[in-house]
Amino acid sequence: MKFDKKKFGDTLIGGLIKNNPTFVLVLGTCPTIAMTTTLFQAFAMGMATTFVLIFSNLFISLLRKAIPDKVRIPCYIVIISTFVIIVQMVMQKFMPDLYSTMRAFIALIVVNCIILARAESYASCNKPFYSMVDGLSVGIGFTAALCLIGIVREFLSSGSFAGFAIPGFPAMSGAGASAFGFIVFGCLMALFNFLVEKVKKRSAGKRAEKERKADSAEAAPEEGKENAAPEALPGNGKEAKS
Amino acid sequence: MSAKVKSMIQGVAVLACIALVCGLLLGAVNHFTYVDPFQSTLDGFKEDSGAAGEFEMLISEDTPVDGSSGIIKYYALSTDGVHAFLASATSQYGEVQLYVYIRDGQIYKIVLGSCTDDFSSDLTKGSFFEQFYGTDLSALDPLTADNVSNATYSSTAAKNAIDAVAKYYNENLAGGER
Repeated sequence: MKFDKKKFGDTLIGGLIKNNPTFVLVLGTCPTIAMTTTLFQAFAMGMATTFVLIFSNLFISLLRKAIPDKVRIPCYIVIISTFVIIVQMVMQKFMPDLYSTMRAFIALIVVNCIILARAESYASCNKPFYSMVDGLSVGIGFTAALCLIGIVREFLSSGSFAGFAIPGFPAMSGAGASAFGFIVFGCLMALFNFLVEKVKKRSAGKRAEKERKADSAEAAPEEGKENAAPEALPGNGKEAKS
Repeated sequence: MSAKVKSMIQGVAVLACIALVCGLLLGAVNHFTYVDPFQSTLDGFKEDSGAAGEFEMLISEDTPVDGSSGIIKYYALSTDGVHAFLASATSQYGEVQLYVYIRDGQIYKIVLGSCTDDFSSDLTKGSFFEQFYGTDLSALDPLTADNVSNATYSSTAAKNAIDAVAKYYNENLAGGER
């Protein structure tokens, strides 16, 4: 297999920023609002989704040539639900308390738009390695977004960070409600897109300046040559002498 | 065989193969992660009750209680006289499972097992369970709004589970039958 460094880099960064599922593609809004009341829950939800994304992308990519087009969605759902059930089993065994609070939303990962979207748009037409990288990247992007929202919501609703109370910051009643979650989500989305646009513009400006400099550097010797050429011409000297 | 039928058979075969492989994978994972409800309940009884003796499980299947909407799922008795119940009840907000521990005819501890909805904080943050501690079980039968304070919609299921335990205890165990 030929390793494409550029594709690898683009895929790895794409899910974090350019195709961030929460802030850019606005997918998976239901778990984003429901599971971000605390940072810990948000992180757990993100990790569960990342696991499912990585392995469902891998299997779908491996089977992409064998799966007929007509039954591709049922096949994807069977594969995705298998990994969701594995997550459920592992959580039930090793984190029963967390599982009891997240049970409904873990099961709903099966129909999470992010996973189905990546399966349909990326894993079904790319090699397994890149599909896994895409799953990892999108999963981390999703986890990071959830954690960011979780930090803000937990701080405002409980006056704490990751379960540790911050002295001097009283809890704000109503901040844990879903409606407030949407407000936080919207504000962070606006901030994220504003920053991304700003960075894009700055890098585009730098690139344009670089190109301009390169052009002027290329043009300068040519101009020099043009200016210097008449003097260098042998005929000119003769004419001048004459 | 027409091309349409052929493609249909192919689709079904692929789907069946994928389902079979997924089933095998799940079976393998289940082998390592299976939680035996009987054993985990017994472990829960030992851990929460503080009883020194060994528990013997006497009820291990859902047992409805007459006159109550709650269910006794497990009941065990320790050699030092602690009655341990796992009771469950439902309300419009979902199901609640409670571990209820009784000694000398009085509830001395209640632990929230699980609940399907996000109202566990209502039950654990406040002193909802503590109001039952040290109360004679005959006084809690029937469990009404008069002998339950801080009863909210979310705690209805918990109230019903405790009611089931009180009724079961008074009818079957309090008379010295056991």
